[in-house]
Amino acid sequence: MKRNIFLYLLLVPLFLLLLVFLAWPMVLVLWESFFVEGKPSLSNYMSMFTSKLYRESLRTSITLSLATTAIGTLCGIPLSYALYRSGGRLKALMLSITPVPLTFSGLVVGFAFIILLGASGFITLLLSKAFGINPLEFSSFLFTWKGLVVAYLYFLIPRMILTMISAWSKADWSLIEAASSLGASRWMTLHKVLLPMLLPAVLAGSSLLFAVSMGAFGTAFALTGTGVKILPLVIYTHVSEVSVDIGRADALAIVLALVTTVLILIYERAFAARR
Amino acid sequence: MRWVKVLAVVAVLFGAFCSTAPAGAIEQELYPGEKELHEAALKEGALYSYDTGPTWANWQGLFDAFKERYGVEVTWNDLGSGATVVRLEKEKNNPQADTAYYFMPFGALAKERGVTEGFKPVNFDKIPDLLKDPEGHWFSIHKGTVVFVINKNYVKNTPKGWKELLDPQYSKSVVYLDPRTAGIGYAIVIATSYAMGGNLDNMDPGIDYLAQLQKVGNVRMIEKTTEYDKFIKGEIPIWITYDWNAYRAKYIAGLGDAVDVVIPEEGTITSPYAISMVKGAPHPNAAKLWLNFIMSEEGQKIFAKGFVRPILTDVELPSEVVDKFLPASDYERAMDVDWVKAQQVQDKAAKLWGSKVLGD
Repeated sequence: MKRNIFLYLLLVPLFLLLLVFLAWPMVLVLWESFFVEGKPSLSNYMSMFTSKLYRESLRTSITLSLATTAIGTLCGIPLSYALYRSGGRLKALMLSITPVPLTFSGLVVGFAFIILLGASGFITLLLSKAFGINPLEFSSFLFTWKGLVVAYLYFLIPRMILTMISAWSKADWSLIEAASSLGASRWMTLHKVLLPMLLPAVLAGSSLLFAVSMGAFGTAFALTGTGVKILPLVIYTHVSEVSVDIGRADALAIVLALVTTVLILIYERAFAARR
Repeated sequence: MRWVKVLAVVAVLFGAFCSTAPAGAIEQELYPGEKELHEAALKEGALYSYDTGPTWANWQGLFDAFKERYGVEVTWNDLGSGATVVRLEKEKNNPQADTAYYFMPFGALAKERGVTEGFKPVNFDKIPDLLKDPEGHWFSIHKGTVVFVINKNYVKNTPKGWKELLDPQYSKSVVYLDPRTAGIGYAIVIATSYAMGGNLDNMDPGIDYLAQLQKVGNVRMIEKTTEYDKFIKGEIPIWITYDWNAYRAKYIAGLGDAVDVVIPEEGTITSPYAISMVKGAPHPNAAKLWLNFIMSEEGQKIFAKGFVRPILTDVELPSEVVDKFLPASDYERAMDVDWVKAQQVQDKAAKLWGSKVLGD
């Protein structure tokens, strides 16, 4: 009992940190989202239904995030397996490099891609020398949602790899051997043994990827400006200069958080139930 | 013996600190009462200036000169005009800022929200009536003209005006700022409206033009924040922005002949930027000293050194700057508009731009 109290005391700083910097701001955002010019109102939320811009941005955000999550997951699983099976120095080196993209701010990632793929970027110039492509036309994709897919994958794939690598390490390989020695086909082994073993990590990883994509702001802000219609950028337009409308921004932030959470819950439930 | 080194470093730093801290007394007053104000400001010891980002409109030059003359460090932030007014409102009961700077229409908005204090700095009478509040709740301090900045490495034929920008040879080339998020973006909407035969009551011609520019595929991107760096880096073939950015890229960043500056033949506009003293400012004397300094000939000249047009037209511009500005005959195509009215229709125009250009 005494030990328990001590443990709880240790948790107090974390609890306070989350309370002050996570829970309290969320409460404020939620509270302010119900006010229009000082009067209580639901119109900030109703605008989600009346404004085509908001609906489209939400849809683009979801589409973009689904695409990046799917590609990130599909790339991450085989890469993490290869990394797990590789050995020695190479593995140690790769494992220490893989998390590096996660430490960069979104702004840095945006500029890194401009330096590589922009109109005067390294790869663009190389390609234009080699194949005579027009650098302006080639690089223009970078400033649309397609550019965001490429840039997001840069920090999503390492996330997937890091989540999966521990799953591979913890997997019980004797079960696979047992299955094949008992006469299971390759497909059956995969379907009945390997997948269920890995599923929790795949679910956790892809949910994380989706959440990160939905909320990513810095990269989009630096790379594409505010011309691409995704919800984080639309929220930004309401806290800046001309179109300032904090209540509106609050409501959109709540919608973004809710939609992301609900979609992830449905997704995890659907797969957990199948198991 | 490491501690000896540490001590030596500390001693050197301390020495440097002591030698820079107190500013010498003012020898010659720029205006009557400056010394007295300076002494009062020194007692307050600090100055908080909202939204004066150092890389915008040569604010860094003003900070340095102010520090050198008075020994008062300017603490700044870079919020954006709208966010500045929101922040002042939130801090109304416990003001943190001494002065606030914005795209001029926001000055009127800030006054309306009751967060400003009337103060008439030196040379207040010389500011055109349309560009100041009669009681000094806000007053314009400098101007910027909407121009094209051309990177000639990409653009072989420099476009002369708005209509030429629609030409297919400028495919994926034009970059400008979002009218929903930046004063300059809104200024561009107004400029195109007048250039296309509209006015403040009818901005459709301008917004239709920008929508067409988008539709023919000549817009490369809608920027928000890092456009100057992207231009210098060579990512922007045609950039619609204020003239001081153009001259800065050409002469200060040294791109020289690779950059063309164009005042569109169909016309453009000139936007004023204003500043206010904040109601209940924690350092009122420092605020007055700062505002007076900005409006003194001295301060106005520092704007000019960064190619920013001072609001006082009788200030003698440094000769190295004068020669570099486009000829006055070009600037005749830049008109002034009724900014108080512009503020009232701003929200509507921003929404219209969103729906027509981004197609929502």
